[in-house]
Amino acid sequence: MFNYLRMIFFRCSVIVALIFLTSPDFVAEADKDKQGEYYPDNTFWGALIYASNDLEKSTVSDKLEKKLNQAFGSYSNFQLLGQHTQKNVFKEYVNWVVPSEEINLAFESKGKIKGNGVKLLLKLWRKKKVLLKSDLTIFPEKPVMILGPKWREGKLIFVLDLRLKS
Amino acid sequence: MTKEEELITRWIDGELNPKEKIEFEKLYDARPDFYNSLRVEANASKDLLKSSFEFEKEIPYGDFFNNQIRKKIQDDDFDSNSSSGFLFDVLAWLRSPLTWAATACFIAFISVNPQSGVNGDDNIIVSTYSPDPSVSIVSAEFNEKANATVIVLEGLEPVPDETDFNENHITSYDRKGPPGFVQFYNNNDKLVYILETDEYGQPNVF
Repeated sequence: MFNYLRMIFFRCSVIVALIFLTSPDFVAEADKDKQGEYYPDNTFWGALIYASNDLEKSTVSDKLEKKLNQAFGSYSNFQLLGQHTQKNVFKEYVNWVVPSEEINLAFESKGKIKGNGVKLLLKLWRKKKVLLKSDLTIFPEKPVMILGPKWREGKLIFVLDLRLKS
Repeated sequence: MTKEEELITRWIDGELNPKEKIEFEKLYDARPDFYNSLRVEANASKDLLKSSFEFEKEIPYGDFFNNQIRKKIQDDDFDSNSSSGFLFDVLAWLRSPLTWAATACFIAFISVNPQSGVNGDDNIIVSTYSPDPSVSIVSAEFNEKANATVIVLEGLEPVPDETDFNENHITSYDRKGPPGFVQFYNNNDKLVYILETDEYGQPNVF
């Protein structure tokens, strides 16, 4: 029964895919992608943030603070420790998010994907040790946020955001 | 391997079925001492091997291997399901009214519920693992509320309190200088760090 349903679903998927692939909109969009007009410049914004429950006012933007609150509800205060914007990200080149002697987040582009997205390889380094490796995709305004080690009374958060060319 | 050799090997390993046992007994009765000595030697070799190797050993980066194996199984499963006899079946199932009825329902469902499908532009985590066994990945997923990919790590060694990130507030970096060297600047365009990546991709901060 399960196999039968799966076969039906597979058949439907193929037909739907054929319909979409041959639709004029899809073809036009694919052509646009090929011409390179559809993608923005690869502009990445990276930040190192200190999350705590201090009573001070957060120093990150309201928009980012909202996202951080949603993701890490146990912290109420977010202090921006460092940030930078990487305008040109080349495929297979290693880029760094606010590096320090203690902890580094590296990211490599593995190529663009449809919808202004980019495939990434992330590596979180602690001195000479890799703590995390992640293959993922990132899209504009949908940042990657990594809750890392404890520091002082809170924790450190790395944020990596792909931004549209301004 | 001849049939006879196979019988002897299976006898030594204690894997003969009743029919093979009868066949082997004919051989054995002809030269019992020879076969007994063979078995003694084979068992001695087995014991030696057993004592020389550890049978239980922790796999390095076990979670990574598990992740890759699971991915491979999923890929193979999909390939075998989708490619087996595919070309020969295409015409047959395209002609099936059931297929077209189901497709019509599927398209109608998508059209009526445009919000119910998966948003293709959500960030996707293909794989996440920690090579450090002391670090655990509590979660790694796209958080709908935050509209962000959220990875939560635990078990990391704390960063010393005296580390002053504010002092070295990085705002930009460039790759001027020798290959593999990246220079990081603060608000005042003052050089704060030079980071070198060695041949293994490991960062060294100066």
